Amino acid sequence: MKEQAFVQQYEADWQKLEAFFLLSRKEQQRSATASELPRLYRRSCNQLALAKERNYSLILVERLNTLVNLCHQQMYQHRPRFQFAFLRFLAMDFPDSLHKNRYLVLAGMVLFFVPCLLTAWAVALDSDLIYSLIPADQVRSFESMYAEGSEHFGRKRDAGSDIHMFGYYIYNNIGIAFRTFASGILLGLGSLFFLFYNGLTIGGVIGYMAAEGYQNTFFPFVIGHGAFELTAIGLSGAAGLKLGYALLSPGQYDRATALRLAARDAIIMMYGAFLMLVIAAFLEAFWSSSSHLPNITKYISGAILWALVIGFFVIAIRGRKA
Amino acid sequence: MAARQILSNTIRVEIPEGIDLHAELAGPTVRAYAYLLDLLIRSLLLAVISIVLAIFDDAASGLVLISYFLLEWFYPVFFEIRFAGQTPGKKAFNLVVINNDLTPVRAEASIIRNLLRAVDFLPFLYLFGLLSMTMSHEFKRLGDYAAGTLVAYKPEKKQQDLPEGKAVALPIPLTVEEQKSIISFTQRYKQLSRPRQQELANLLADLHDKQDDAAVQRVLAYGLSLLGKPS
Repeated sequence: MKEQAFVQQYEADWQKLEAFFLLSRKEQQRSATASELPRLYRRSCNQLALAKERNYSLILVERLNTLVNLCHQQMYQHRPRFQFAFLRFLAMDFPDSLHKNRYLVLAGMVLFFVPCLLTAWAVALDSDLIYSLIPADQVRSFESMYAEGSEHFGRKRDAGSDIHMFGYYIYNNIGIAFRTFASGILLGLGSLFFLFYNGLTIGGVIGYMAAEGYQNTFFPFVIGHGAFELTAIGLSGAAGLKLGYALLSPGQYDRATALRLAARDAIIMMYGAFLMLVIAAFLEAFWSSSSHLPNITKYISGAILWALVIGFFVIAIRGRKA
Repeated sequence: MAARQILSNTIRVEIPEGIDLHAELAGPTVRAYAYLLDLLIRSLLLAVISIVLAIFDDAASGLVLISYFLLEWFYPVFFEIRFAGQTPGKKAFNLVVINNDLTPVRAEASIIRNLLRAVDFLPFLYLFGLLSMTMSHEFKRLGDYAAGTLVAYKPEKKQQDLPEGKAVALPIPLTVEEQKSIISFTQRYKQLSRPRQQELANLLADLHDKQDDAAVQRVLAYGLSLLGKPS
C-alpha cells in the first residue's frame, strides 16, 4: 500500500483524534470521541507500527507517534483521588512509612538528638564553649531575645508582629528541613552534616541558656513548638538518609531504580515533616512567644505536646497489627 | 527501556501496546534558558506581591516571606501538576516534564524533583545539576533521577505541503533509504531555500539528466510517485 492511499484511508480517524486533543479537559469529557478513544488508540498503535514497518515517510511516522503519545498520556494518566486524602495520610500512609523505615527514623533522631543533648550538657558545664559554635554577636542577640521583661520572647525587640515571625519560621525552618532531606542524595552525607550541625548549634544554645540563667524565659518558649520542630528535623534527616542508603546499598535494583523507589517512600516522610513544621511555626509565632501566659501553662501544654508527638511516633513505628 | 544511539537525544520507550514511542530529550542549555525565564517570572511575582502587601505594613512582611517560600519551592510544582508538566518558562521553550515511561508527571514526582533542586544547585549555580546532566544519557539532573522524570521537547505538529504537479515514476529501482530521502525532500522542500533545493536536486543528475529548477521539479515528481500519487 502506497503512503497516500494509507493516509487517505485513516485520515478521518487521525483528524478526529487531533481535534480531540485540542479541546480543554472539560470539553474532552463531554466530547463524543472520549468513548471511542480506546478503540482509536489501539488502531493508531497498529497504524504506527505499520507505518514504521512499511518505511513510510518520517513526517507521517512523526505524526502518528505524536498521536499515539497523546493517547497514551490520556489513557494512562493517574486519576487523583482527593477525598479523605489528608485523613488517609495521617492515619495510614505516614505511620506506615515511619514503620517501614523505622531504623532510618531512629538513626535520624539519634544523629540529631545525641549531638544536641551532649552539646547542651557540655555548654551548660562551660558556657564559654558556645563561642566556638556560634559567633559572639549571635549569642548576644539570643541573650536579648530572652531577657526578662521582653514583651515577646524569642525575637529581637524590633522584629515585627506574630505574623511576620510566622512567615519567617515557615520560610527558614521548612527551608532547612527541605535542604536536610535533599542533600541526602549525596550518599547521605548532606543529611548527616545538617543533622549533626543543627544538633550542635541548637544544643549549644540550650546549654548556654541554662548556664546563663534564662530558664524562666527560654525553656517555656521552646518547649511547646520544640516537640514538632526538633522531631521534624530528625525526620527530614531520616528521609534524606533513605536516599543516600538507596545509592549505597541498592539491593536487587540498579542504583537509579533504587533511588527512585526510595524517593517515593521518603517523600511521604517529608509530607509529615512539612506538616509538623507548619504546626511548629504556628505555635512558635502565636503561642510560645506570648509573655502573658504563665510559665506553668506553657510547661504543661509543652509536656502534653511532647507526649503526643512521641506517642504518635512510637505507635506508628511499632506498626499496625496485620 | 530500549537501547539508544550514543549521540542521539531521542529516547525510545516500549508501551504496553507493544510499540515503541519516542521523545526528544532537552539538553542543559535550553533547560537553563527555561529556568532563567521562570526565575524572572518568579521574581516579578514576588515584587508585585511585596508592593501590594506593603499597604498592610507589619503583618505583610510575614506574608511576603511565606510567598517567597512558596515561590522558591513550589512554583514549578504548581505549574508542572496543573499544566501538564509545563512551567511558563518550559512552555516558552516548548519543553515538558514527563515520567520515565512518557506518561504525564504526577504531584509526587514533581515535588521530589523540585525539592532536590536544592542539591542540584550546589555548590553554586546548578553545578551538580549540570554535571549530572552531562554525565547522564538522558540529561537527568539529580532531581530527575530521584523522581524518575525526563524533560523532553513537546512534539510539534509538522506541516507537510506537498507540491502540485504530476508524478513521474523512477527510471530505475532505488533502495529504501534512497526512496525515503526523496520522499522527505518532497515533503520538506518548502522549508529549503531555492538554491539549496537546486543544489540537492542537482546531485541526482545521473537519474534525471536535468539542472536547477527543472531538476527540482523532476525530483519532486519522483517523490509524489513514491508517495503513491498516480502518474
